[in-house]
Amino acid sequence: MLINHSRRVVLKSSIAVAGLTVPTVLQLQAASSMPAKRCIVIYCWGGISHYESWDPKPGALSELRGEFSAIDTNIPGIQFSEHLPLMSQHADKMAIVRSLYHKQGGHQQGMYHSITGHAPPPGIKALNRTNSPSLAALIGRFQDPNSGTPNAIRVPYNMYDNGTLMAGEYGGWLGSDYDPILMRTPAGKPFRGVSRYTSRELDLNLNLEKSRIVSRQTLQEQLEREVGETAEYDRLDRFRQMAADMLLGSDVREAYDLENEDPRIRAMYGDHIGGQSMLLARRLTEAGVPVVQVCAGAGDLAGGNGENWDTHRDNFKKLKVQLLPVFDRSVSALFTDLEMRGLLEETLVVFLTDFGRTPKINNNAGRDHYPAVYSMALAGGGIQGGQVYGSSDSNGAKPKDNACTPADFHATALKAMGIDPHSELTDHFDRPFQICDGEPLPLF
Amino acid sequence: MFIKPFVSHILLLVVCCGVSYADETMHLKAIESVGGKVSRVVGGREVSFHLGRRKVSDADLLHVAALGDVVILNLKRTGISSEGLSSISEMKELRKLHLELTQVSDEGLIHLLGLKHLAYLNLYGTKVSDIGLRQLQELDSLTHLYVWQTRVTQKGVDEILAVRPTLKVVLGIDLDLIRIPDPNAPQQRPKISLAFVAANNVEDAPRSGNGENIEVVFENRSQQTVKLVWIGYDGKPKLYGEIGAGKSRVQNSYENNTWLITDVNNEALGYFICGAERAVAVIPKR
Repeated sequence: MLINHSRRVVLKSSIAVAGLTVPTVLQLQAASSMPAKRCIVIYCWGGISHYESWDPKPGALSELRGEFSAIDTNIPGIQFSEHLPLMSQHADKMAIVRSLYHKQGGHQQGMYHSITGHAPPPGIKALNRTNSPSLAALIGRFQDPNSGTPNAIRVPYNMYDNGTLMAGEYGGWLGSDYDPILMRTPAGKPFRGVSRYTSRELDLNLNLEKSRIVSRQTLQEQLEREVGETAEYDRLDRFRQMAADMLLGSDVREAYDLENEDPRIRAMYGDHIGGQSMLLARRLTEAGVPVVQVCAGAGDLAGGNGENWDTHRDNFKKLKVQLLPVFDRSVSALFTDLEMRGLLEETLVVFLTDFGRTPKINNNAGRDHYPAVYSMALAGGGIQGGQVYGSSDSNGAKPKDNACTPADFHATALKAMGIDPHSELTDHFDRPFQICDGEPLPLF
Repeated sequence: MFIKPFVSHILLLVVCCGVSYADETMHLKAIESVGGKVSRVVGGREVSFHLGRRKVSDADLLHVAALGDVVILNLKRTGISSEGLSSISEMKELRKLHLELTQVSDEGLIHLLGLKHLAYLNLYGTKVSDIGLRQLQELDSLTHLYVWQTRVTQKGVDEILAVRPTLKVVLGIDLDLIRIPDPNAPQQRPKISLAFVAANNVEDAPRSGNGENIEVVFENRSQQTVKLVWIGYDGKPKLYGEIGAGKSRVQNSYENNTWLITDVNNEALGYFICGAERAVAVIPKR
């Protein structure tokens, strides 16, 4: 593939675009203003309710505001849902964006728009090489990890809707080299409901006992049987080579083994796959993987059944009992852990979801799809925490000020990673693509 | 005609940096030979050893110092010692320094006091203490200091904050306060009980509906072994197993599923219909 922007060129161009002279750049070089080196994308598959997370409306009418109260966070004036008590003590690290919107009411379309920053084309299909790359794939494209280290990894599930593999979380026109590799989180109580795997995920345990990995060749043979069956994958060799490098002993292999982690740290994240996946994301990024995307919920929406964010029925019970406790604990543990290790400054944490949920509560005590306004968040990686950007109106029904789009949110994340959002890359056919159509939000 | 300005730029670079091209190549090779990675960042260069082979000795740092424009240095988890930090004192442009999980102790910190641009210093997992922290009060430019899992105490943190109130010092949490759950501890008995509906015929049990994924704990308090039969979505019974007298069984299920209980001769005794929550299903004495 022809690439016309190296990361260095991009950095240079972003300086030029901003009109900064070199001395000005030097003055800006407090530790916190250096671009982030790693990124963790946390995806709330199904569409997390903005009402019940980061944009509670305690003053709204009872048929809208729902059962939950709002609680103060560690930043005066910012409130979260009462079922995010741990996360509320990390608001100082987070920039909450409460004025996002788009026009896609279906899961596939909403997820595609949110995760790629581009509106979905009609008739969209998974693994199509004309699709736009996901944020994780795109950020990974600009990194230069060590040999045997993938540019981007996803854990612990693929996103499906009623058995259909979703488009959006892959490398798209960047090519299969930049498909984030799926890994199973090796521990934790799974999300209830349906989660599916294809034959392609990379399980570093792979049912291979260490004693059987005697040579690269036997390993390759094993991998061919394990992951090499889907012929449509055009660059399988690279994938196999990487898997072999990882399995034969690398920092990534070591990071994957959660048994190596301090049991107290593991307990801090919670004995649930939601928590252990966040821990894995920290370990993998620490070991040199530039981007890790975590699916924070069951992999298949399965008609709103199971533990995912598609809460058409029993929104409150499901959030209170199942989803928010795991989310609250795991995200808070991640923030604590990254900060203690001095990694939060260098690690951008990005939250994404399909859309928000309807302000009006339906007859099944649920909330339905609502792209007209929703909330997301960024943390770490030079993002100024303790702030809210934009707002929704008093009913949480539309943006009140600073309305912004998934493209703007992507531009912000790219800028935090030191990538000029207006860079161009070329696809297999040498066609130029501007990687992002949005403008960075002033969150730095 | 394009060559001349190009050459003069190179010369300017060499004069500015005080490192000849040949020397520079030699230093870069030496760094890479021990697994170091050198990359260009805004304002200078970054040298990282933390993802390499990590067998960095104190002498290897002389090559890093010789580069002259290193602004970020990552020595995390390397074999660097307090003495080795003496060569770091020459890296005047340094803004970020990772020394976490090394053998560095209070004695080494003295070498950092001349680093007038140092903003980020990571000492997590080292042997530094409040005494070392006191020395760091001299670092005017420091904005972020990480001392989790060291000998530093809250008192030491308070001391440096009294002098540098805007400094962010991360002491971290005490891991011993985290409770580790016992994986072998028995799970609590569910508080919700499912109603046992007595039935004489298998056909009395309604077909299963679907819903949320839940768990049911069957407790057999009858005097006999019973069979656990799931009534499918199509109404067909499917045997799941037997539960001995006085025994229990944890069963994965879904809301609105029907579970029929029969005796060992397949005579129906009754059935349960699951709710939306984890529940206990008591098979009563006859």
